[in-house]
Amino acid sequence: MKKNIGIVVLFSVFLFLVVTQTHMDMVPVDLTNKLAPMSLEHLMGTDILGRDLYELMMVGCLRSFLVVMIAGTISLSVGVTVGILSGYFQGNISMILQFLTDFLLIIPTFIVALLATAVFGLNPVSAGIALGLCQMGHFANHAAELTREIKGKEYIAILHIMGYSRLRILFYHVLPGILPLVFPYFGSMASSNILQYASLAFIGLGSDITKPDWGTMLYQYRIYILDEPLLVLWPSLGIFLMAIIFQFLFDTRKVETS
Amino acid sequence: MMQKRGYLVRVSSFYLIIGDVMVIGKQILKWFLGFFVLSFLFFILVRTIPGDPVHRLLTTYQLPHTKENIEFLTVSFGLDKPLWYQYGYWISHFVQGDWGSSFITGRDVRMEILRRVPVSLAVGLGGVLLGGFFAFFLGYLSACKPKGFWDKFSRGLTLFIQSVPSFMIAVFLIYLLSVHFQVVKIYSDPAVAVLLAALLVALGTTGELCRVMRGHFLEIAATPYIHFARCRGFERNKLLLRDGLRPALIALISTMVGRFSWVIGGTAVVEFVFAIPGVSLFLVQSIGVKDYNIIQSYLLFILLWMGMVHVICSLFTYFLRGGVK
Repeated sequence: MKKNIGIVVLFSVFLFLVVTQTHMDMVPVDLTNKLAPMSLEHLMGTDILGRDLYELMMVGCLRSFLVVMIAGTISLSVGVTVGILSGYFQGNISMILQFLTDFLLIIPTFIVALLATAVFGLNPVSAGIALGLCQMGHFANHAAELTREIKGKEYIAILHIMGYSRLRILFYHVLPGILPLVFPYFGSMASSNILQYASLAFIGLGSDITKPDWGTMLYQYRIYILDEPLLVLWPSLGIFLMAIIFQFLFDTRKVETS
Repeated sequence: MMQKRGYLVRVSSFYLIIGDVMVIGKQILKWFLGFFVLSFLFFILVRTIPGDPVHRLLTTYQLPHTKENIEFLTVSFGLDKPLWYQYGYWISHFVQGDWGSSFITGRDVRMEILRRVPVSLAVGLGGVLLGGFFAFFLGYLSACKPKGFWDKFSRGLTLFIQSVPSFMIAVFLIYLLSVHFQVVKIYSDPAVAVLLAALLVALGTTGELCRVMRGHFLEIAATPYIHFARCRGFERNKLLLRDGLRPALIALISTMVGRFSWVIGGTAVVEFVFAIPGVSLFLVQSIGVKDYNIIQSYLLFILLWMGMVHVICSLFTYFLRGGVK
């Protein structure tokens, strides 16, 4: 698992280094060079406005990656904290937290994200926060169940007798026990977030069409699917590869069987 | 002795019923509380959408943005009142069945939403039910022979669904069927659009649920009663379908609760691509023109729908288990 996290970190550093070298804000339009074929100058060719597809793809990749990271960090950190608190304590705190997670599970993620991005504009930060907060319920539920399981074990009872404070037990002894079992779900969450973000950009409420999100690109190029299949192929391939890589990096199958 | 036992049974069943009522009462209280908390949150969220409906309306009807016009509309929409008053007015009328009227078209919101629900249900509910059906049998087939053809097929399908966005499949289908081969006219024939959209939703549901169903079937195959029936010489795969049907159905329903509540709202992308006049497309359009009443009512309508789905699904599993909680 540590190796996989290392891969993700390396990839993100690489991505930042590559993308910040080129046009971060806007890829220049060159109408004299529309729909150019693949060449050394334009690695993936150019689009209907003469923008270099390779650069668009790189910026799009960075934006999707940011969404995944922001959403994942929020749902993991907040969700797990809420989960262990509601699993460890009993009574009112647990009831209120349980109530919250139940409703987070019920409200439709996509609709809330659609509204939130319409309110704050579609960018990786707003979409990431909306998606992350809505999906936090899954992590919280899972963490709460695991905490209840661990809480009954003897070594936790001994720690109580030894007079350790509750918070110390929670964050130094319970958390390390459940984190390896919760963390792999980050991967399947990540690939669903990539798809959701692409769908949000495809519908395009509050989106800025000059920003090359993969979903926005697909919306712009969708009418060329038969004449210029490469235009549609690249963003689709990007989404597909990114989702599938996250699936394989964080394999939940091993956790489920253990 | 017999009398006493009968008395005990009666008393214990009485307590069981009391317990059930307590559980149900707690659930109702939870939904009730959640309804009001979420309605308040939604209200705040909707009101923070930038831009206001008054200017939108004036632009739509090409009226001058004079001070009198703006003031008149603000007062007639009740937007000049403080927010807490607006919320109270809206929620008290919503509960009574008066969902207000659209700012832009002036039509009754409840009629507008309920008119579009059947189309959305045909796409969403039809697709999810069909998908559940396929997932059940695909899960069964792949549990029949682990690492066989169907097992690999279902794994491939799940991976495909999790990594290809549904709107791309839709776009591809539209261009293949109605532009390249020109078999059907999707945008002029709503029936075809609804059918295709439902099939797409079914595909997504199948991909998400078939692996889960496979896991449940394998679990059922490992239970003692299947094991002993096999010892008596029955075939494993026939047993799975005959004796394992009820637990598998219960598992299917409990995994499908989430999908059922997703039916309204979750199909927004599909409705958008196929231009199906359902509630979700209506929402997307309403967000565009900042029609507060419609957005708020839509969100609460989703909440009501989810409450209904949860009640129906728990009743269904209750009876499938033979009245045991």
